[in-house]
Amino acid sequence: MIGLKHHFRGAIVVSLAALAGVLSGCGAASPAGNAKVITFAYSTNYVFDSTPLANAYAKFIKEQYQKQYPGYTVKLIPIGGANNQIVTALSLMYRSPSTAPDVAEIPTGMLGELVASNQALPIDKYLAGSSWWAHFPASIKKETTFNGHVYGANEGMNDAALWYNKALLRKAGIALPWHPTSWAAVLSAAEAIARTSPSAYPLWLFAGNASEIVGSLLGGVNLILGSSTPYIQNPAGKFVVDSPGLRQVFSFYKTVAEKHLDAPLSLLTNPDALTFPESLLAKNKVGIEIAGNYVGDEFASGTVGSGLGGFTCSPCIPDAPQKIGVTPIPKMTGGGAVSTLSGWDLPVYAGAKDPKAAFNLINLIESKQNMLVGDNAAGWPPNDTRYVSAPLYDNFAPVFNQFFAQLLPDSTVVPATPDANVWSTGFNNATEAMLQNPSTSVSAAIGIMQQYVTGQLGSSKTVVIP
Amino acid sequence: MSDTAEALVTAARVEREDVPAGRRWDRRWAEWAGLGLLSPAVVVLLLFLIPVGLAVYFGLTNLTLIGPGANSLAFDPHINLSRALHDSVLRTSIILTLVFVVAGVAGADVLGLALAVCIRRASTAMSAVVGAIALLAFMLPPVTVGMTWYAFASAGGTLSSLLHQPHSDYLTSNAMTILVAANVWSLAGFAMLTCSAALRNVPEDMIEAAQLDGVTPWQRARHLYLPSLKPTLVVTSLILTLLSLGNFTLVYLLTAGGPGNATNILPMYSYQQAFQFNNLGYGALIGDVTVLLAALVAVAFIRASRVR
Repeated sequence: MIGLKHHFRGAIVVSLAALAGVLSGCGAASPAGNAKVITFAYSTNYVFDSTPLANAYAKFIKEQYQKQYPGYTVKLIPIGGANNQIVTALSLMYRSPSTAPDVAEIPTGMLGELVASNQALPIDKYLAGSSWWAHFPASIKKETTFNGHVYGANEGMNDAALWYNKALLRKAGIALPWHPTSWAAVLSAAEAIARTSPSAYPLWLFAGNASEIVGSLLGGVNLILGSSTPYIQNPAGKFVVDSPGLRQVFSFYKTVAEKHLDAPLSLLTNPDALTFPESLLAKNKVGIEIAGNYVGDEFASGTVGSGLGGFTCSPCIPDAPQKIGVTPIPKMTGGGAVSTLSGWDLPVYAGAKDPKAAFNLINLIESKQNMLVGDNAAGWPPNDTRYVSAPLYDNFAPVFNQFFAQLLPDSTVVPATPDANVWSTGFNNATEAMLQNPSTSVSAAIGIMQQYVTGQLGSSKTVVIP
Repeated sequence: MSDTAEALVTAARVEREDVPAGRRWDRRWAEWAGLGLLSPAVVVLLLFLIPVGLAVYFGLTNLTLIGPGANSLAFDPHINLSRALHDSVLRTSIILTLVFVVAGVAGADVLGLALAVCIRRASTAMSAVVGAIALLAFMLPPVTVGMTWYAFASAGGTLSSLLHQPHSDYLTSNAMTILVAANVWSLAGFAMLTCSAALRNVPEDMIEAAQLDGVTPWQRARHLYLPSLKPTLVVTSLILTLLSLGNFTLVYLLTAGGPGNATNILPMYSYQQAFQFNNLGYGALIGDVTVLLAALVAVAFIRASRVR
């Protein structure tokens, strides 16, 4: 019993010591930021065409920077996951100065939120000395401007068009190259494909929430831009939940549903649906797609440039321009082309220890060679209008790259904020309901969207356009 | 003192001969020692209570992942509670969660019990094969279960091929049914395991006596087997209910809460609010509703399992 008493007391002492050690470890302060270390957060598998390419590009930028600015070190912070996971990871990092990256690759919709939470630094004074800012299109400059100040530089944008399978269109008796000038022409072509190639999906039009806001930006929102009410927010910033334009778009979806022209809903609502358009085109499984500019890069087998090597085309289509065509999305009744514009920005953290050094990293990324290599690797048109015909970019994905670079001036930046996410969810609910049940009326679809968006955001943030 | 009492006192003294003078194990200090030995359990309890407490707190704040609410946290229960009371999607989500859980657990219990009865009567080899397959489904990661059922139920999948309807999209047209079926399929193995063990404890002589008395199989099941299996079924159902309540992966992979909000159960809706719409506070509140549901279910099951 005497031995048990001593053992018992000893056990208590050891336990308390261990507990103290654990608690002190948990409470250890993070090391203070080092002004000579610039942290750069980037996406590993969602922005660039492949993870090895994303890591190679980031390392390439890091090495250039450290060579150009001796004494400075770039610390890379890779972030995995899709759009929402990246926003979540970055949002958590920005909550603490010890984890916030000096420069980060963020989705365009996130920049406004960073500005609202005072976590992004105005970089006007640094841009004044840059060689590239003046050559960015006005729409892209505006995208990173809030309250008269610029809070970031755009790294790259995606625009959208109609991709089509030439063999299926030829079989349907449609003259090539195909240039539809109205929605009716698109529907007519889809119906012809349905008649002549019953095993193929005539049309790929994103619906449902699996692809989240990106799916709607690369799908139905393009149609809204071509309608008689070409916006999703009015000048006061309220989200449109009913308008003549929305009804026109839902009418288009209803026709597609009634005539069974779209791909199966289970494909459209697959979490990987954003990656399906290119493989379906390659397999002659889909006739026409509304999809992003990055699709063309998937077929390419070249190297991106600057010794970064190539990437694995997925799928590989030798002579892709001979088999696959691309044409602008027409407005509802003709008179021009439309496309959404959304992508990735590079802000400087408001609490960066050395903002100038952080901006130097952005300056390096936006230099000609790095911009073109990044555009090839991520599937973006060059932001700098001087480079839209650069051989490095054009030759990487012939025909397609040049087409999408020329489409930039016709493209419109669309909000991608958290509230826009809610609007998009309501829109996707409505389009999904129509495809699932073709008898759903346009008014019912409007009701689905209106009820959801107004219920989530409140009536003060929504508007009905008569 | 009587002889008996004196003998008892003497016996007590003899028992405590080896206890040092002044140190008695029935004194207060022994209670404190017992508390110290309970400290690991207290730590585990705190590891549960603190996050839940924080979730309750955040659910009553204006916390957002990013934006103005990210930097100016304010405790204002009215914001989220008022919103929850008027949120038709939340009401629908609660109902869908109950449907998903009740149907899934009931289905898993019935299928598991049926499998347990069948393998009891089958040959050793057959029971080993069937039991292994059922257990394999339970042990598969949720991602694998999701992918398997996606391939089975989507357009052009196994189900549509078996029914000679290659263009039918059962995953979309019967989303909740497919989800429940997938959940039952993945959980039945566990129910089979527990029921198998419980069936072995049913006295064989009682069954034989019932058979000799001419009791029908249904009467034997109702009056002999089920009462014996009741404690096992209650515990199994409780575990399966808690597993189903938190089953986010299956829903996210198969339907992402759609089509529309047709399968938007509470874990999915909580994720959507917190990480798609960046409303961390409101997402936490929805999570609190899930915890409350789980607690109510647990209390109900504990009461049902009490021996009367």
